[in-house]
Amino acid sequence: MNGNGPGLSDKRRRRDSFLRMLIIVFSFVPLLVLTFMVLTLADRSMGTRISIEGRPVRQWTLLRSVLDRDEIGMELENCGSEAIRSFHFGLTPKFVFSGPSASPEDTGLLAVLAGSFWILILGLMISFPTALLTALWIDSSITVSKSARIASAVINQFMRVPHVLYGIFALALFGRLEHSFPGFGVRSVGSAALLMALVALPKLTVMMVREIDLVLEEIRTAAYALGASWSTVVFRQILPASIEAVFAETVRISAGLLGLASPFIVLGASQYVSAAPRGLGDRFIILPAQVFQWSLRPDEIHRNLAASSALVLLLCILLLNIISYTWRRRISRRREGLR
Amino acid sequence: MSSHAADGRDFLCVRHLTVSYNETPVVGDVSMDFDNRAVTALIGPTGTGKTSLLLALNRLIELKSGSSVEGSVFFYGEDAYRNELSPEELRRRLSFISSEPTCFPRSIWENVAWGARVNGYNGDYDELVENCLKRAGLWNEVKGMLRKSALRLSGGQRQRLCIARALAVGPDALLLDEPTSRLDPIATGRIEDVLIQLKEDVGVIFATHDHLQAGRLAEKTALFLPGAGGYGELVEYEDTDDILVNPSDKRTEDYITGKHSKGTRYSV
Repeated sequence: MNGNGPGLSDKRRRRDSFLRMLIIVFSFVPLLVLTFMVLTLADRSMGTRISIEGRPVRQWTLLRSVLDRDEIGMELENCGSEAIRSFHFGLTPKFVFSGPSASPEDTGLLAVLAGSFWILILGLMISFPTALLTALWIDSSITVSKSARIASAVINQFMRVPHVLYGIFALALFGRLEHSFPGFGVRSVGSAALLMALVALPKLTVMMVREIDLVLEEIRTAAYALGASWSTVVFRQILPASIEAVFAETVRISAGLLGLASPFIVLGASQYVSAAPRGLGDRFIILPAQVFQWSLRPDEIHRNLAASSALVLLLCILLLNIISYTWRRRISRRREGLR
Repeated sequence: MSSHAADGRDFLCVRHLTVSYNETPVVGDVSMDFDNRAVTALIGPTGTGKTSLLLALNRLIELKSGSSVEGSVFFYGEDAYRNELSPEELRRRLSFISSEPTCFPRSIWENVAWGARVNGYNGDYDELVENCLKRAGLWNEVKGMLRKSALRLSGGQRQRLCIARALAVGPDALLLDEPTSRLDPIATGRIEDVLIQLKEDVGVIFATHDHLQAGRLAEKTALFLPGAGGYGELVEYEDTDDILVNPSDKRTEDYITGKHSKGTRYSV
C-alpha cells in the first residue's frame, strides 16, 4: 500500500478527481448564467444619456458608453449646443417608489408593484384556504378513499398545464361573465386575482400535500390512539405541526407567481395605468407584464426602463426566496429534535 | 368501569380474527381472551403480526392503507367492529403506545393534557398531569420543566411520557408495541418497573420479541409463529410460567430455546 488506499490505482484516482471537477464546474453553470443575466440587465439599466432641455433623446448602455465614446461625442455635437451629456442610473429609489407618468424619464414602478402585490395577495387569499382544505382532505383520506386518489391525480396533472392556457381559459370564462354581469371587467384587478388564484391552486395544493405528509405518521397514530376524532387529529395535531412550513413554502411559491407574465398578458394587462389600483374593478398591470411591454418598445430609453424594472422584479423574487429559505432552515432545525 | 369488569373475563375477547394487508394475511384466525387483571405478553419473531393484532384490538388498524380485518373483537361484550361503540371510545379505553416513542411537538404538560382535553376532561389539569407523570415514573425527572418542549427528553423518558399521555385519557388497558425495543437496559428496566406498578389499576397488553421480558412482566403469554399459510398464527396462549418452563407445543419449546436454524425454520 502506498498510502492511497488499498487497491485504488492512480489512473482510477485521476479519473475520479477529473469527474468530480467536471461535476462541480457544471453545477455552477446556473449561477454563472444568473450572474450574466444580472450583469446584462445592470448594463442596460444605466449608461450615458443625451438630453435636450431635460428630455432624453438618446441613450447608450454602460458597456456602449465606454466602447463608443467617439460616437457619443459626435452625436452630442450633432444635437446642437443645447444638448447635455449625463450619466444615468435607472435603478433609483425615485424610479421604484414614484407613481406612473406619461413621460418615460419621470415614470415610476409604484403602481405596477402595487398591482403585482395586490393581485398576488388577493389570489392567495382565495386559493390558500381552498388548497389547504383540499390538501388536508387528500392527506387524511388518500389511503381509504378512491375519490381522494382521483383528486390528487387530477391536481398533479392540473399543475402541468402551461400557464398561458390558464390565461386563455380565464379570458373565455370571464368574457362570458362580463356578458352576463355588466359590471364585471375582464381586464380588472378582480379577474386578474381570480386568474392568480387559479394558477396558484394546484401548486399550493401539491406543496401542502407534501408538507402535511411530512408530519410523522406516529404523531397521527398517537393522536388517534388517545381517542381523538378525525377533525381533532387534523386540526389540532397535523395542521399545527405543518402550518409553519406551509407558510414558508407559500412564500417560495409566491416568488414564482410574482414573475408570471403570460396568463396576465393574455387576459389583457394594461399598457399603462395612471395610478395604483384602488378597487377590484380597476384596470390592472403587473410587473412582469410591464417589463414585457417596455422591452417591446424600439427606443433605448424604454429598454432602459425594462432592464431597470426587470432588476426590481429579480430583487423581489430573490428577497421572497431568501425569506422562505431562512424560515425553512429554522423549521428544519427545530424539527431535528423530533426524531 | 362496566359491571362486566368484576370477573375480568369479559374484558376483551378476540374471535377468529384475521388481519390482512392488501389481501395478504399477516396474522390469521386468532381467538383469545384477555384479562384486564393480568399483564399479557404477545411474543414471537418479527413479522408474525403481533403489532397488527394490537392495532386491530382498538381499530387503529383501519388507518393503515390496504388493511382489512375479519372476525370479531368483543370489548365488554360489545362487538367493536359492528360499531356497537365508536372507534374513538374504543381507542380511548384501549390506549395504544407505539414502539417509536413519539411526543407531540409541544410542552411536556401539553403532551399529557392533550388527550384528556380532546376527550372533554373537565377536572383539574395540573393534578391530572402530575398524577399521570407520577404513575409513569417520570414526575421526579420533569417536575421542574413541565412547560419545556417534550422533544428535549431522552428516548426512555419519551416512552414514559407516552405512557403518561395514554394514562391521562383513563384507559381500561394499555396496548404497548415493543415498548423497550429502542431502549438501553437501564431505560428498559425503568419501563418494566412502571408496567409492573401499573398493572394494579390498568390492564397491560404488550408485544415483544424478547421472551425473557415476557417472563419478567407477564402473567399470561401468547406465542405467535409463522404458520403453514405464511402468516402469523397463535401457537400457544398459557400462563407465562407454563410457556417458558414446560411448553406443551414442540414449536414453542424450539422458539424459547432458540433451536431454529436456517432450513428447518418453520418449514411449510
